[in-house]
Amino acid sequence: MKKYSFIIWIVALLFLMASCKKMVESGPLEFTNEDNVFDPQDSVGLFTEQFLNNIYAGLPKGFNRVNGNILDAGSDDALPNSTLDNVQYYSTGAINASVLPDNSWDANYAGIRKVNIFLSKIDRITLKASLKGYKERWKAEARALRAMFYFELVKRWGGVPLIGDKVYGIDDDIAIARNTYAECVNYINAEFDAAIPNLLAPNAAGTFSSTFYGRFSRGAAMAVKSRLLLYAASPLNNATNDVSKWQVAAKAAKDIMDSVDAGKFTYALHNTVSTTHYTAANLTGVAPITNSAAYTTSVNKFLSIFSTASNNEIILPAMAAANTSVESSNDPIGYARGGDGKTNPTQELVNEYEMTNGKMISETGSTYVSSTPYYNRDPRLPATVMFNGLYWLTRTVQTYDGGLDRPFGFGRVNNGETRTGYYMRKFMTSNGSATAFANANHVFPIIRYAEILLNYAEAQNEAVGPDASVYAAINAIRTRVGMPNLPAGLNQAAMRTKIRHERRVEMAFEEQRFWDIRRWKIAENVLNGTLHGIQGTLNGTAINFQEVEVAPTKFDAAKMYWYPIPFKEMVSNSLMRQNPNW
Amino acid sequence: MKRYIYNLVWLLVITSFYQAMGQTNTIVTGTVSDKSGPIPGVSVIEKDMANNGVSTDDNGKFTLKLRGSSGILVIKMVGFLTKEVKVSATPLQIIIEEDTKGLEEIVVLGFGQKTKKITNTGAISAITGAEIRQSPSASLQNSLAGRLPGFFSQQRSGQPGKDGASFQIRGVSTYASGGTSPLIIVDDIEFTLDQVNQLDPNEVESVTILKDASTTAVYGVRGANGVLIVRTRRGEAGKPTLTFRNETGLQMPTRRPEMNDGYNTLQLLRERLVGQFVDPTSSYPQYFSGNNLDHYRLNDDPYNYPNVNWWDEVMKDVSIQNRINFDVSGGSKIAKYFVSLGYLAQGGLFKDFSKDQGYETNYTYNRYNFRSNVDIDPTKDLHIRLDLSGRFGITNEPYDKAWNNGGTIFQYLWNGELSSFLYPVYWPNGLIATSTSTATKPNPVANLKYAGYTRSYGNNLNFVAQANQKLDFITKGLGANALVSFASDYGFTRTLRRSGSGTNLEILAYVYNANTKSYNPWKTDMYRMGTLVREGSSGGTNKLLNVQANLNYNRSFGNHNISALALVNQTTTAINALEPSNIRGFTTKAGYNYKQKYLVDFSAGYNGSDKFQSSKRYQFFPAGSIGWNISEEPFFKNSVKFVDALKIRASYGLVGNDAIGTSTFAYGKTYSTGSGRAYEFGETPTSNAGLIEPTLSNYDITWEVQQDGNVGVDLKMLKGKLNFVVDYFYKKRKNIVSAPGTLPGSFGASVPLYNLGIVKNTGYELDLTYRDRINSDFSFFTNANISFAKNEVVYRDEPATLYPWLSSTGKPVGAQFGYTSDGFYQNLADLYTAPKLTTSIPLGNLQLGSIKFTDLNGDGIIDQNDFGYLGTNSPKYTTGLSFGFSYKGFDISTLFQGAFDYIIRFDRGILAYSRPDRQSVPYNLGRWTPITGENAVFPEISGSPNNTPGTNNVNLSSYWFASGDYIRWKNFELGYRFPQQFVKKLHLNNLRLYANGYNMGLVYTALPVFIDPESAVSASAGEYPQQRIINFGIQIGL
Repeated sequence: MKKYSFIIWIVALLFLMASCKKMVESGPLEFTNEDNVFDPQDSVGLFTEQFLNNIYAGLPKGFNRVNGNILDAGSDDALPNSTLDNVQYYSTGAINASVLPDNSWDANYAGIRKVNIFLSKIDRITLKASLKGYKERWKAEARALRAMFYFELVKRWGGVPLIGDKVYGIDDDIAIARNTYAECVNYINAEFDAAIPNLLAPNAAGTFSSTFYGRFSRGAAMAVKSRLLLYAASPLNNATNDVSKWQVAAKAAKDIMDSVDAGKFTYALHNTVSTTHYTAANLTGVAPITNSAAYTTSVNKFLSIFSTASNNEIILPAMAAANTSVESSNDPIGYARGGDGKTNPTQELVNEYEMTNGKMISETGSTYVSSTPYYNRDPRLPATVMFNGLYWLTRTVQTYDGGLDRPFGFGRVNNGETRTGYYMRKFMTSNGSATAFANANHVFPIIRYAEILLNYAEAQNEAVGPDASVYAAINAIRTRVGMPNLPAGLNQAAMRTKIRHERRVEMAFEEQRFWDIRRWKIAENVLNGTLHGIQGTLNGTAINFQEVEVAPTKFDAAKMYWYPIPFKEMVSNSLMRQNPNW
Repeated sequence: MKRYIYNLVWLLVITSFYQAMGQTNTIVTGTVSDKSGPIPGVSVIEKDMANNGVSTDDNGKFTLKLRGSSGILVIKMVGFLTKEVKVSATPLQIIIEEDTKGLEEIVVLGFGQKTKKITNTGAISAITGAEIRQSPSASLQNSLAGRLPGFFSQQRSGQPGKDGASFQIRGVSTYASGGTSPLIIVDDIEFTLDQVNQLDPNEVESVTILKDASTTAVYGVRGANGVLIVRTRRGEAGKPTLTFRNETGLQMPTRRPEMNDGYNTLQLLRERLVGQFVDPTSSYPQYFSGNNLDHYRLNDDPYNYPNVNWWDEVMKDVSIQNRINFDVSGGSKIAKYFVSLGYLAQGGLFKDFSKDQGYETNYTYNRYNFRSNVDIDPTKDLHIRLDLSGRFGITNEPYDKAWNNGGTIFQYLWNGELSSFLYPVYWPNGLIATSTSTATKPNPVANLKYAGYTRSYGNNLNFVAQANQKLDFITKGLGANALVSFASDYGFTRTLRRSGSGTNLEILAYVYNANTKSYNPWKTDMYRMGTLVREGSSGGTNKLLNVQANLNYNRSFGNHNISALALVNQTTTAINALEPSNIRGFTTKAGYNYKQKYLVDFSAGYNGSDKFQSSKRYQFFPAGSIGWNISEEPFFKNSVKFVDALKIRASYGLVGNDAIGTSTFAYGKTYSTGSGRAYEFGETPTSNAGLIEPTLSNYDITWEVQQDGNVGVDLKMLKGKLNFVVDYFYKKRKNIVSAPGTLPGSFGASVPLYNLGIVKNTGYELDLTYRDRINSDFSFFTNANISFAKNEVVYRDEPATLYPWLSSTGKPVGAQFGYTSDGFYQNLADLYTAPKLTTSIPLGNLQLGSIKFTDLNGDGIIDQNDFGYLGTNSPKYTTGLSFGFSYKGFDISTLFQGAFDYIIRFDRGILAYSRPDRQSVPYNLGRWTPITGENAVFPEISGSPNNTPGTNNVNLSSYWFASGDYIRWKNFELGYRFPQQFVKKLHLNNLRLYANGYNMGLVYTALPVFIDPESAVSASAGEYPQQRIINFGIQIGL
């Protein structure tokens, strides 16, 4: 009996062991790896193209991208509506290596890595004959994107480490020194030059296939180069005012203008009303009584640049699906749609808009009346800023104290309503109803043709002086919105002032001013003091307007022209050196 | 097949009864006593006739009819040395001796192993099932707090069916998000925390926690968090014992939210508005114009100026818990059995609003459980064990979240989001009132009455088969053992709700229109109730299979005692579509002692987990321990008479933790598409799929390893009356899985998890028990224990910080950071000159009475560099103090439990005042005003950002944290066992009436607000309040 039971036991054990059949897979078989993405047998490059598409998603987005605010809310053009929103640390001087709201270091290097992976792997695939040339174009697009990512780094931090085509592995020691600003600019420039021959070329009519809109084209590469070289020639990066740098910058812009003139590109200032934002009746009290129809057309034209998904003016867009985020973030707070009213333009910006006669409001003969401050101003003002009395959705905006869009009034609260008495108008569409948002196209114009004209005018004025081509470029921009031409006979300095003025009012909230005040080295002047707003007080049915101080600003010229290198980079890269005085 | 085996077992059980019939018929009578007098309840068993035994009665007397031929009685009693007595002339006078040295005490170890307490060298704490059953809590682990040194638990919720505490053994030794829960083994089946929560305490024989490496190394890669072992009751040879228990408990919340009434809340609102330069009368004419506020104060118009206490409106004072258990146990030499059936019903706190609707919307829990543990010894050398157990739980919850826009009614009551002054419960014509205000929530009465329910079903079936063969014919003391356990868990949910969706759920409630003086449905023209919709979803199926086989050897050669074990083990967990995960390994154990005086043990686990790459799967986890029974040394024995037993012991070893918070294949990476990765092209923007490189893979990732040391002393003195155990431990967890924090961004990719961090955890446990039997009628005990565990992050890959208070390194795990509050700004000079945030504008957004932050680095401004360490949410000390006595049939015992040295964020509900139409709490009344000044306990209320904890913790300061220290009257039990003479008349074996209680009251809490100190971790916790249970029970032995 004893032995018998023991045998049963053994048999049972054997049975158990035999039943341990291998049913477990030894690894994650369902995972997609690099070999699937760059599959030599994939003749259409399905995953390869998807990999490239994702690199595009790293392009700067523009709208409300800094923790819900636009970048220019950190300049003298606007303020965020909450005192806690960190984008204004740039104007209050509160940034440091640990607290850096617009820290795109990691994101741009992530983009660079993606490009490097793409370039190192793409030659594995062979596309079918009908896709001839696609591979070369994809490579060129990737290189252009990489150059763009570097430019994003360089304009923030100056010289950054150039890592070439290197794809780091997790065991690599990553100690890389910074390259100089000049080396970076040369590298970016050279990369664009190398990419341009294989980039998307316009057809005989100067346009691109409609499905390719949004891709990095030759024109886009040339346009980014224009901005790159302009920045490199600017006072911040050109301490000796080397005129040859201005010449190079002028030429880069001129190349695009010449190609347009030669019919190679169809870029132009968008000069039609593609969306009727306002009727003349809507603009009662804003448009001049004598000329309200033309004025309304100008306003609508200017707004139309931003309310269409594509037009001839936009050279490089940051594409996005139709959405409601611009409206929901920036709608004045008193409307039933429940907008956040985030971007609050400053009085400084509003004062920059001329009267329709071409005179600044402070000039003699301007015809400016302080009790009707928004009447008869540059049409770009009602197309950029929402002020008290501007029509929006169902009624006029009420930003007087106690008004629907400013219920608490000036200085009473720290968030929840406008701090300056203004809201942003520029990129907004009135899509949807008075009570609900609806999707609208919001393609951020990273570069549009007007900037090329401004770039050219600025560089040419510095390189040569205010010649006729400078006048032509600026006047083209002014003519589009019905503003009179610049007065003749300006000297170089006066022209510089006019160009800077034009750039500020034309490009407001398009991530230009933020960088312009740095490269012109004027941030220490415009951001050391107080930013202003307006207080409207209801007096019977009339409103008394008074300029008020809203926010103190501080800009330390010794260090703030460049961002501090993020703290993590400093401690993790032994060769990293901090920018001066941070 | 299972069923067949089961029937067979029953057959064996039944035949064994017959076998026991008809032998010799000598009748023996006698009395069992010790020095102090007769002892009731002592087992008197005929030798070799295991099923022929009786217990002594209240006077220590027994009568036994002998059936065998040995003529010897075995006398057994817990706490006494077992004695064999030859039957001579009756009545016998038997004197038994107390087991002052604990020679008979057994401790439970891993993998079904046991050892004598005197030769144990590891750190172990245990509690018996009888002690657990003194607590009426439905969840097993709730009964353990304060009773097991080294056991740290926090009960977060009191919801029926979900009230189990989460717990750790010896605190936390890792900062990784994975797991800090101990391995839980119930009769060789691994349980999850949820499952052990549902285990019926009635089935439990003992709970043991294994705390040091010498006891947990056998579990290798899973042992580092300690192991909790539950053993269920098994049958003992003897006549069948039938026990019936019925308990009825009254459940009441330990703490409930306290709100200001509408009048006080509105007063605060007015003060706030004025502080913001807003005219209250024009903003809220309903509240402030004319003499409206007087109506709120006087309550003279409850419909137009309501003052509703929502808690009182929707909650019962008491809800009922019912528990019924029925056990049968007994057996013969060949087969023994324990069969148990249990039923638990827990009621919820809400009033029965849905009664007339034909469905139940309250929180309830129903549990049915059964267990059948059978032991069969078909031959002298073969032992077979078959356990079958199961639980079926049904948890009911109201379907209140949809209409509430996401939260439960409890949540909104705690948060003050239900306004007392906005609408009454019912309008004068009996219609249910509600409001369409977005600031407040819809009427909970309508919600509970009409919304419906969500009901989840959990089904759990477990099976264990084990065969144990003695192999004495090969060599004496050798045995072999095989075990298969199978556990299956299946769940599904069913919902009955109204048509419509989300906040548009079609529930009929009315709002009053003051202009038309009419009552209108809250949803335009919806004058009907939605139809009922039934939905269901199946939960996961979870299958767990464990196979073990071992060889063991136990033998004594004179004074040399040897034991050894070699075991193979595999656990497979299969959950739905996931690739089954496997843990496989070998375990060895060897022990040697000389005269039970010098003790040496060695154990090791070699096992692996297929979460990791094949070359990183297996590791060897050895541990060794030594012990010295000093009291056995002649020099000690002769000189120190008052000490009965003294042992010092020490252990050291390695253990691992593979619960690293990642799924199977922690090392893999997969390129993926998905939202946010696509990009639009085309003049009509069209989305084009995007593909992204994932987080890189780290093929070297593996488990955490812990060095684990322990020294301890066991002491028994004063003739075994005083029992003292002290342990000191040191744990160093290495290879903690975490993301590196110092890789430059220039790297460009998301980096994987590495084995990087180091955490040190040290502490001690003290356990002191004094028990004495004064005479045969009176005995008492008292126990005090304290556990202390303190951890510190020794290394984690984080960027060096500018100031020491900013870094996580050197702080405890789970460190909380924030500004240090330095009271309130009391004067204008201070407001303008003291350091402040760069965004602060004195008298703009920073008012007198705002919270003032300390400038830790002294640079004159408050910024991220002043965001320092405040504390942690895990108690460093837990303690328990229990005492009790028994006198004749009466027994009384009680337990106090406490936890100390931790902080709790207490802002839940106390910021509701800042939203119009919400409630304020009494604490808000202590706000800063120029009059209260230095005496204020709450900041001024006009809305400085400093005075809110803020999103993204921007203004979080130590003001919002309070010490969580508490002492709780945790348990009591009062019982009366009826005298045998009386019970006999009722034809019963025994009869006991008892009352016991759980969470009887908070003796001490440092919290300034009304939340329970165990529930609160953050603003989002603590929904269903913890319950006090007062329970009445009857136990009948048939």
